Formats: sequence, structure tokens, C-alpha cells
Amino acid sequence: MFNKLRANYNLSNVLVRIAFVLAFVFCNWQRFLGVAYNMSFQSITGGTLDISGVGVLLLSLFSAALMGAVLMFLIPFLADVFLNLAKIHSVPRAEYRLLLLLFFTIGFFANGLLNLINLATPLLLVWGGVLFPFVVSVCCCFAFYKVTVRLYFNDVTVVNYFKYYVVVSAALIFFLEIL
Amino acid sequence: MKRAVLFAVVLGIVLTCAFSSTAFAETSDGGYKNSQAYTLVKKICDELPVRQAGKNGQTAIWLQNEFADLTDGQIQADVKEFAITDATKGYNVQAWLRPNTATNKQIIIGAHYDAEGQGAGDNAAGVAAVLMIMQRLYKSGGLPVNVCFVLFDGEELGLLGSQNFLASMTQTDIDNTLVMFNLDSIANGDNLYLWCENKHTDLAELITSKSDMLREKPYAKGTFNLANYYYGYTEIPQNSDQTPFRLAGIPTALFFSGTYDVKPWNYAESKDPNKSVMNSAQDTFDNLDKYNGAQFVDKINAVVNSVEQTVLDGEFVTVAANQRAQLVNLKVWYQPWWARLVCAIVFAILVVLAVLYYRKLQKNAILGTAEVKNNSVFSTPQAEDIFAFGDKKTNGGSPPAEDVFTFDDKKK
Repeated sequence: MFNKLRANYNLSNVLVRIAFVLAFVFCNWQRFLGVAYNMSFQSITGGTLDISGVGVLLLSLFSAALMGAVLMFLIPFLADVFLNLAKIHSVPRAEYRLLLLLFFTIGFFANGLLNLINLATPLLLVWGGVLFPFVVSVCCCFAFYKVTVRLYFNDVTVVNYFKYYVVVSAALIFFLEIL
Repeated sequence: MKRAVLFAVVLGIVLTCAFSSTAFAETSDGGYKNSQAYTLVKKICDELPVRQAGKNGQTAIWLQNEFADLTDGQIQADVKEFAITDATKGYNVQAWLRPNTATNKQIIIGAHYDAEGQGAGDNAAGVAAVLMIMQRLYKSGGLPVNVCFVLFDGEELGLLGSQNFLASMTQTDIDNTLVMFNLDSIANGDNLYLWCENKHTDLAELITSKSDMLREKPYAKGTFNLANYYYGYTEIPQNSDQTPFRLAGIPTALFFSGTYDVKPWNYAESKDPNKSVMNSAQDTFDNLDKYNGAQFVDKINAVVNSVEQTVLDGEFVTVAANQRAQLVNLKVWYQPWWARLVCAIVFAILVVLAVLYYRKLQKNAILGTAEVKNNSVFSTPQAEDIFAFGDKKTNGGSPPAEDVFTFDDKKK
């Protein structure tokens, strides 16, 4: 199965992108449900839309899927920008982008699983809501770095890659997970 | 045989009585429609059909007069103005009831009066209950503490009235406030709940002991996480007017009517869709009466009785004063900033490690090799796999090329 996927880039690409969107929805459903509730509340009080009942759930799932789809295209684009800025041209772009999406997918899925623990107690909701995404992000960044270095970089080229990679990933983690 | 027939008759009578009692409560015109709770809620909805925040100047005056009417002019309420926007204002209506013996201890009993639509359940019922409590405590005498009755404006816009009320309190006032009772949406749901803390406390015990209808809200563990309405986790449940007070460290007791036995995407108000009308145009007095009947009056009376008897209970001051010691410490464990601080510390350590590792990489770059790495996750197919004919890839699939391009006579 795994060898077949490795031999078929197009199939892997499609599967990873579908898994990415699903994992994103799985990771963020609580957040989107809250937003949908707010929209429902506004729609009721404002009298503009009629979103209520199971419609709130469907709206939240649709919003999450839409956001996931947008990110699915945005992340590979940003990966290209990163590689251009870092002047790294020795990497197979398509494969690199796919690997990046794959690691995001794994991260979202792990985060989604951990978020289920948040439902256990109020204390975990507060602490887990902050700690889990941070831990998962750091782990995924580290794992992605190790895999890409092993595949594409030697002792000389890894220095430049590490420098840019750490700056970008640290900035993302700091602004998205800590602040 | 006679015993069996007799048993069947008795059983039939008992079952008939049991089932008809609930139906009677919902359909009977007698009794509850003449009650003070019914009359007050109807009066508020009829005479103040629009109580939208920002347009409540006249509503506040009406409520101010109601305070005086219910106490033969003995209690004069004040209207406190606050800004909602540059152009619009909100109005809190508040009145004090003092005990015979002077004390600096006080309690606050409040409900919001602003509403989206007619707002019969949310929150004309709560306003009626506050007015009834005020009237009863005024008549009963024997108050142990100062009581502030306050009707908040701007709750639906984000607890504006209660936040402004709290902002007007000094730290001494806050320290002297034993409890803030908040009555919000107390009539329309399936059950009548009390919420003090996310654990059992002596105050909750005292209040619930005053009514069979009243029960504590299920503690957060195991309930749904519906962030918007705070029905789930956080120590600030039910995003209502008690929240600013609780965040200031004042013990609070919220009365509300709802259910936790609904699907997570529904309002936690009722399993009956006709009763889940909070903040909608369907939250009218007619619907409240039609779908709840005498039950909504019973709930209002239960809240009124509970608050009145709690305040007049001989143990109230002691129990309420002890409630502060039983509050969950929101400033430490329930603040996400502490978790963020932990993350920031770990992050700083990782950055330092990354810098050290970068130096190591620089040394390795000088001493190491610069071999070309062109590994790939995806296997590259061999040229012959791409250009080969089907006959070579599959045995017995397509006929060999020579069979295709040769004439029949040559084969023969």
C-alpha cells in the first residue's frame, strides 16, 4: 500500500489534500462551532439569516472545511515563497510541498485527538487549549525538519536551511500558538 | 377475583390522577393566571414590548415607578445612566433596602430587563421575580444586610449594565458584598437550576434547600462545551450579569431555567423546540403562557421563595461570608496566560538550543562533506516501465508486437 502510494504521486497528492481538510476540521471543530453559535446568535437577534438547530453544526463544519481548503492551497504557496527567500533550489518543490501538507495533516489530527481530552474538565480546557497545540506544533516542526534534512540536504546546505527554517517556524509558533 | 378487580380500579384511579395532574397544570385557567408573577410578567410584556438596549430611557422610568408602586412609594429607585455608544445610552434601575440595624454588609439581587423582541422568558420573568422579592423583603422586615435591587440594561449587548454597575463600586463595596443573586431566563426551560460554583458549596446547599423545584446545575465535567453560551466549561457559566461580579471575586448565585439533555447544537433551554426561544421573536408572553402554562409561574415563585427565605435565614450571613473561601481560584489555574507563560518559557529554551545547534551545524559544514543529496520520497519509474509495451509488463496480456504486425501467411 505504502509502496504503491510512493510510486503514484498524483494519487498521494489527492489523498493527502483530502486528509488535510478532514484533519483540519477534526482539529478545529470546537472553535468553529463557537463561531457558528455567535453567527446563529447574531442571525437571530439581527433577523438577517435563519441559522439554528442542526444548521449551526452544519455551518461550523462547512466553515471549517472551507478554511481547510483555503489553507490547502495557501500552505504550498507559502512553502514556495519560503524556499525562494531562502534561495534553496535543490529541493524537489512538489514533493516538498506534499510532505509539508502531510506533516500539517498529522499535526492537525494529533491536535484534534488531544482536543478531545479538553472536554474532560474545565481545567484541561484552559491548559490543554494552550499547551496541546504548542507541543504538537513543536513536534511536527522538528519531525518535518529531520525528514527534509535527511532527504535533501548535506552538511553544507543544511546550515542555510536550518537558519531560515528555524526563523520561520519559530515566528509561526510564537504568533499562532503562544500569543 | 374481587381483589384483582379492586386492585385494577385503584391502580386506574392512581394512574389517571398522576397523568391528569400535569395536564391540569398546563391547561387550567384557574389560579395561576391570577398570581402576581403572571400579572407582573404580562404587564411588563404588554406595556414594555420593546426593551432594546440603547432605547430604554422610558422603560427605565416605567420600572422606577414600578419599584415605588409595589412598596407604596417607600422605595425610590434611581436610574443610573451609562454610555453604550457615543450616541446611545443605557440605564440601570437600582434601589436599596436597608435593615433596621445598620451594617456595612450588602447583597445584590439583579436581573436584566433589556431584551431582543418581547423577551418574556428572557428576561421579563427575571424582572418580575426581582420586583416580587423586593416587595416581600420590604414587607417582611428583619433584613440582616443591606439589599440592592438592580435591573440591568445592555445585557444582550455584552453585560454592559452589570459591568457599569460594578465599575461604580469601590473596593470596600466589593469586599462588603456577600453575594450577587442574578435571575436570568428563569421561566421558560425544562428545569430550574442554580449555579454558584463548579462544585458544591454551603451557599448552594442553603439556597437549594429552600425549594424542591430548584437544583444545582450539573458541574462542568461531562457537559458540552458550547463556548458561546458558556453552558459547558469555564467557571463563568451562562454569560450573564453575574459574570463581572464573579470575576471581581464576589460570590454569585445564578438562577436560570434550562436543560442539559439536548443535542449540543441546540440551545440548552428545552428539549421542546417551542420553548427554545431565547433571544428570538418567539420569546413572547403568549408563547410562554401557551407552552409552559402554570409551570412558568411555579418557577418564578420558586425563585422568589428561595431568595427570600435564603436572605432571611438565620445562617445566611455566616454561610455567605464563608462562600468566598469556597470560590475556585480563577486567577491561577483558570487563566490561560499561565499556560501561555509555560509555553513561552519552553519556547525560549528551544530557541537557545536552536542557536547552539546552529553553531554546531556551522562547524560540521566546515569539516563535513558536501555530497549531493537527491533522495526522493516518491520512487522514480524505470524508463523501460514507461516506454515498454504491455506485453512485456504483463505475461499473457496483449499479444506480442510481432504477432500484431505480421501477416497471417507468415504465421502459417
